[in-house]
Amino acid sequence: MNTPLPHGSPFLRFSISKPHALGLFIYGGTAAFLLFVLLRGTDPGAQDLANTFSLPGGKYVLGTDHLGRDVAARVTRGALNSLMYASACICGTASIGTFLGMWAAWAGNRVETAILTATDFTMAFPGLLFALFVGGLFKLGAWPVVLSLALTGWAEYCRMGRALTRVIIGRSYVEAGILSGYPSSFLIRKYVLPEILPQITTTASFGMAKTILQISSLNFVGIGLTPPIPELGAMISESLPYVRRHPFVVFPPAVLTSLFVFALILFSGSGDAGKTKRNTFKEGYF
Amino acid sequence: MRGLCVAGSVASLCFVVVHFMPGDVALEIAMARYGESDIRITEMADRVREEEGLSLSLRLQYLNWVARVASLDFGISLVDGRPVLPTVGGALRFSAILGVAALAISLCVALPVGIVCGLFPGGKFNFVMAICSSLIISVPAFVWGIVLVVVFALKLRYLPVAGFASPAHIVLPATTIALTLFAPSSRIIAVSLSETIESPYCAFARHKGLNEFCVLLLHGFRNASVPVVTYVGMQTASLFGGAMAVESLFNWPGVGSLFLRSVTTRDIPVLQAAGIAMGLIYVTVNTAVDLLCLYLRPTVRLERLG
Repeated sequence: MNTPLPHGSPFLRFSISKPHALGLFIYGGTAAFLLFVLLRGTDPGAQDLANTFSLPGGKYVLGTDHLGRDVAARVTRGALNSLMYASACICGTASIGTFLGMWAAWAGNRVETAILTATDFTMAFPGLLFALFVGGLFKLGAWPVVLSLALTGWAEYCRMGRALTRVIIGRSYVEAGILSGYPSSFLIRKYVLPEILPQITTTASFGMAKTILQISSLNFVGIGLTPPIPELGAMISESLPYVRRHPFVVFPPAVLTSLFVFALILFSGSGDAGKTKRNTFKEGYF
Repeated sequence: MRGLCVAGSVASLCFVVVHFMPGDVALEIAMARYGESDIRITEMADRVREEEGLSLSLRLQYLNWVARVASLDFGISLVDGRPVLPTVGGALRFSAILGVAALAISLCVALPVGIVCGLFPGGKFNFVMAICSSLIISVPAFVWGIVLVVVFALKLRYLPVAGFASPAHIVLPATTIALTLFAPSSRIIAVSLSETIESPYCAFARHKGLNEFCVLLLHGFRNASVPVVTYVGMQTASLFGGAMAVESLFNWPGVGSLFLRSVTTRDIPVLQAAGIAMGLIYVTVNTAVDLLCLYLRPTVRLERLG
């Protein structure tokens, strides 16, 4: 057997810990539920005014809301939407941020200063308010919100990518690679990227949890909606006037949002699990 | 200096975004002022355009605007016609009251909990608290608000539902925000403290014969507080405006709900003034935090250089 290489694929070394397993279980469960609802094919917009506020069971798996619409179908659409928006946002920020961070660390000098200044600048920027501002003024649905969240979100990954890359660049095998004349793109792909990817994905899953929360609270106050399409946050605020007599209508969207976020937090291992990871992270953070 | 740049760019960005948004600004203002159903609405829009100088070139408008802001003249609200500065100031005060109350509640709970967790990182209590805070943070803040309202205001009738008339009104929104502040800050306190007491300098302090209490008092807390101060500072800054969902849920007249209202009615002067104020607050808090960290641990300066 070979000893594990320092730059092996992160996926081969991936061992599933308890929180990860629980997170996967939550996602598996919700995915099965969403699939089940999708296969039933109920229209999320269809109203059944004779059957408002019906309790779960029978024809409506999760009951109906104040207009007699199927809560299960609406929740499913809303959940798929928020997952799509949040993952689009995170894919964008994480990849751009990491790329810029690696570039800064690799190039050094002026490029580094420029990128770091931009990062500091963006970090000091109130992201949620910017999204509220843009999303409220351009009434074009969710994409302006996602874009503005992405515009302020990349800085975190850039800072982290730079810090991690700096540590790796200082190692002797990278130096050997540079001296043997390999192009930087090859070295970054072979040595830097596999090493920093696990930590970037950890941060990204926490970032995605944060993004889901941000999008849902923006939806809650009515920003970033395209009216007929159901959103989780908007469903909660719609059900508010009826919460006293029919408290059940708040639960499905609220619980689903929380489940997604909780599972993502489990993936990011925010407990005290990643002790060793944190130490390598601290090596070059400042 | 960098702070001023950030505040300035936040404000300029407000200006730019407002000018590139779809729709006719003057028409929107006229509709907001005189009602949407008015027949002479286009005429009104033309008048508004003249009055607000919206027909000038973009560069001239920007220069005009910079000059006015520099002389602290933020103009009057396009919607209700009152001066902007007192409106924003009042909202900031309300946000500050709510924020201070929420921070106080959250720190009162987070400090003891975090310290106990940090002292015994392998213990059951730490494990339970780690799970609890993950659960707390997983549920959106406004959902906690709804749960608290349903339980304490609607079912038990201990506290008022929403509004800002009496001191009792602040309890529910402050508790809601405090919940979301408590969860991450208690974890940060715990992690920071447990890392500090394992550090070489604390080991050295133990070896030279100090007892555990003295080690904590002399070397532990001050060093462990640096990340905590940074994080709590970030939380403080984000309270101005970041709590908009909770503010609008409880009808609390803070910056968040002001911002939200002005965005939906496109009240541009208020938005710009609020944007500048928010930028300044972010910058002030960040600078204060940096200075405090420098005081708490002077070696931060060296780490920055490296």
